[in-house]
Amino acid sequence: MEYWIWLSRLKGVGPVIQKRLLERFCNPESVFNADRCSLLKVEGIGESTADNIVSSKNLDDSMRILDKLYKIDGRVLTINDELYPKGAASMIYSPLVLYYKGDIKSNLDGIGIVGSRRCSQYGKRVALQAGQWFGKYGYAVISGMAKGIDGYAHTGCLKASGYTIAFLGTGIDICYPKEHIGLMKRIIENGAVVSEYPPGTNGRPEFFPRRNYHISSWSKKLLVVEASEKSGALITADIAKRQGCDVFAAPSQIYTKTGFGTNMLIKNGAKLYTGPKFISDSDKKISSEQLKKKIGTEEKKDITEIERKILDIIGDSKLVVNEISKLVEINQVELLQHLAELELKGFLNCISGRYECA
Amino acid sequence: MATIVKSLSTKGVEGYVVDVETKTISGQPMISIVGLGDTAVKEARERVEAAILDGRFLFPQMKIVVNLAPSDVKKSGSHFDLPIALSLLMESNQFRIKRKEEFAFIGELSLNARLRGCSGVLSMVIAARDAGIESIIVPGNNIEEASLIKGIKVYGFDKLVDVVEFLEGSMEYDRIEEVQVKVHDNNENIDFSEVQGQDLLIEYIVVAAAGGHNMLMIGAPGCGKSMIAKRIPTILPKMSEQESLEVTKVYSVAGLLMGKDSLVKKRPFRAPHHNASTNSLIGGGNRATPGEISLAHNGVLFLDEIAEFSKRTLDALRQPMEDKIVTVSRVRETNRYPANFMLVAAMNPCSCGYYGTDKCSCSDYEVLKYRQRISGPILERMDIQKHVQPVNFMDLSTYNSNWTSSQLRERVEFSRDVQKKRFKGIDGVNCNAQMGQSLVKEYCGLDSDCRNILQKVYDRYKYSARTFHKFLKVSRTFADLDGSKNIRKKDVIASVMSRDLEKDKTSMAVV
Repeated sequence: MEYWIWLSRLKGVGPVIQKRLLERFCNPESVFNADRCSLLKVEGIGESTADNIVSSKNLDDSMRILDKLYKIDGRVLTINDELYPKGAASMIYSPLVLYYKGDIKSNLDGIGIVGSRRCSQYGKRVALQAGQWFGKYGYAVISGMAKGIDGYAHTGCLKASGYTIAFLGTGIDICYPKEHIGLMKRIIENGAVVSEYPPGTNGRPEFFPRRNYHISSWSKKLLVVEASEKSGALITADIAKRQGCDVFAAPSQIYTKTGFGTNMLIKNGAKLYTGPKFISDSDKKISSEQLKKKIGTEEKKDITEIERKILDIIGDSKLVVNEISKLVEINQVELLQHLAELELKGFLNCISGRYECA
Repeated sequence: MATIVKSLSTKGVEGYVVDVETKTISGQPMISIVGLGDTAVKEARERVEAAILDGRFLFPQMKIVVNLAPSDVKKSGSHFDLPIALSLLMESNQFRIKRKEEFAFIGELSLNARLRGCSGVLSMVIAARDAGIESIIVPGNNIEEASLIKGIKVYGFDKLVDVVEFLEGSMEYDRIEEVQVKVHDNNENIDFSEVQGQDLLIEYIVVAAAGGHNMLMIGAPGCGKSMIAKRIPTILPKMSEQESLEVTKVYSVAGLLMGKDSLVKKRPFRAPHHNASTNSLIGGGNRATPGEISLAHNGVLFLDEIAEFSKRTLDALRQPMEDKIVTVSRVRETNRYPANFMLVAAMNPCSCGYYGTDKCSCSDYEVLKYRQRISGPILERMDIQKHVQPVNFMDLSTYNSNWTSSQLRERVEFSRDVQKKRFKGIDGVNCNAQMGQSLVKEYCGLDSDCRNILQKVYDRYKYSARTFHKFLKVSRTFADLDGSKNIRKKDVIASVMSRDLEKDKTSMAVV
């Protein structure tokens, strides 16, 4: 294993050449033991690179990484491992070695969900619903554990007890952003966090595009929810398109900044996302009964005249107590009783003092 | 023989009698003051010398020793000037007290022999009376504060010469000004009727005030949290004489009465800024002086932007909130101050301030992280946590406010009476918020209807057992407001809606 890590960390040699070396010498250990002459025969390796490889024949660094991995209970996934998805392994820039924590399932049916870190309530809803749906129906929800859409996608999936993978732009022992520490723990329990970078690596801006690359190469389909004009999500979508993976984009209002990128994606040929069913329909038969369950309207029995009136007034909007009180024309103190009853019956939700129909 | 006059000093909020002993000894002219005085006391010699020379007196050219007994207690303050000067004059036979009563003296001297006011007068006068001293002479500035105490004759003078002439009997006390206890008009010009469109919140505030519950308001910037908090003292019951005295004592010791010279009749409202240090909040400093929580005694301590306070500072509030008293220990002194306050706090729902609206772009994880700045135990002590909703400015005129502060106060007072009767004879419990487990069991029985609701609440929100305990107390207060003996269904419903912050958690998209 240490030879794998050594090979993947060779300075001045990227994944493409690394793979060529591997092809030629069969395994990393032989690369390690190869002399300068035979190295030079590999296409793309010049004199200086060969010198560089010969002079860096030292496994200390790799051993250190293995030690660290052992301590944090992390594991190594090499490109010829059967858990490494075939699709991802065939990408030209896919790394030889990935570090991960948790479990990686074989034959992943991955759906990537990416989007803006600063998302709107709409984006949050889309991401949560998608995560939940795909988690429920056995897809692997793949995202980047960033704030906003990424986080909600993972959260939705976990809430549905689904399987989810997070690609990090840091080492797998570092939680970024910090407030996701609880989320990260749950992802490890119900999936995996994966990174190209060895443990202990702090995030750097240039690492994140690589992370995006992995998200799309591990996914068969990619859903973009809310992306502004220049965002990482768009980079991911761009890579995904080139990798030949289906890109879906959730439409947004044309006036919102966060929706500009996704709308542009649709304009440029991405598929219009109209709900999770749309994506899953094409490749999985989910019985129509299962679908109905969620949509089927609950019979609102056991509800008084005035409570019905309140529900009608709230409708699709979010109202605060004093607004409802004015519209229903009863005083706030009395109104509270009805609102509380409705909340307890599950017809109303109250978020930060604003009531909306469940 | 040394000349001895009585003076006083303070330790914490309590005063004690100090004997000022002066002796002249033949030797190098000098004056030394012993008895563990601080710099202010030591500097008295300069002020006293200047003041004595200013009048018709001579400063004795001898070695002078002044002792402040008890000599093993540290003393501070400039109020020993007057007793030192008088005892020195008597020691050097420049005058004699011809009046029969026993006097005590406090007062700072200016360089031209006038008397200046000092702090802590109220406590000292009380101590003097309790020690059986018949009369006390105080600076004119402090006369009103001192006159609050019955059972001791208080004389106020402006000049050292006047004091001497009065004591000699050559002048009668003619300051007959009827000492009017200036009562600060109760909360001059603020009233709850100015708060519009927040009827529901006001209802909860009434409950908080009635049951002694601490309250947390959560709302977007500019929605009126501070405005509402400022009005809470206007609905608290009027302070009793005893309570007023307690508050005045603390203020007197803290030196905050000077110039106002009156009994504090208005419930204190303290709103320290969120960069307040732990010591300024709890009490401390060189002399272990009272902090904000003691200055808010019998009133309201309002912590605006509570999430911005440092965690340590907030956590330091925990003990005083339980004990209603705080012991401040410093190298030089250890003092106990009362700290029975109602804690009212305000915060934003998230770091951008607009959680729940489309304006907010915080992720739910960030919102939770922001809220975690308030530690669990502090949140635990907030019985009522309500969201404050912004009111549309253009609609303001259409709201008709139906409650004025005095009406609300009547309701609060009514409910407090009910509670007083209930907790008669139970030590340390005055209001519903202070009930312990066993009292809750005894006084907060529920019928099956109410228990049903709690079951529903549990199914939906999964609150902890502790939280339900809180609900019971709050619903008790709701019932008390109407004078109902039993807790009714509506009381329970209202109470289970009193913990918005915890309720929010269940609807958040986090794992």
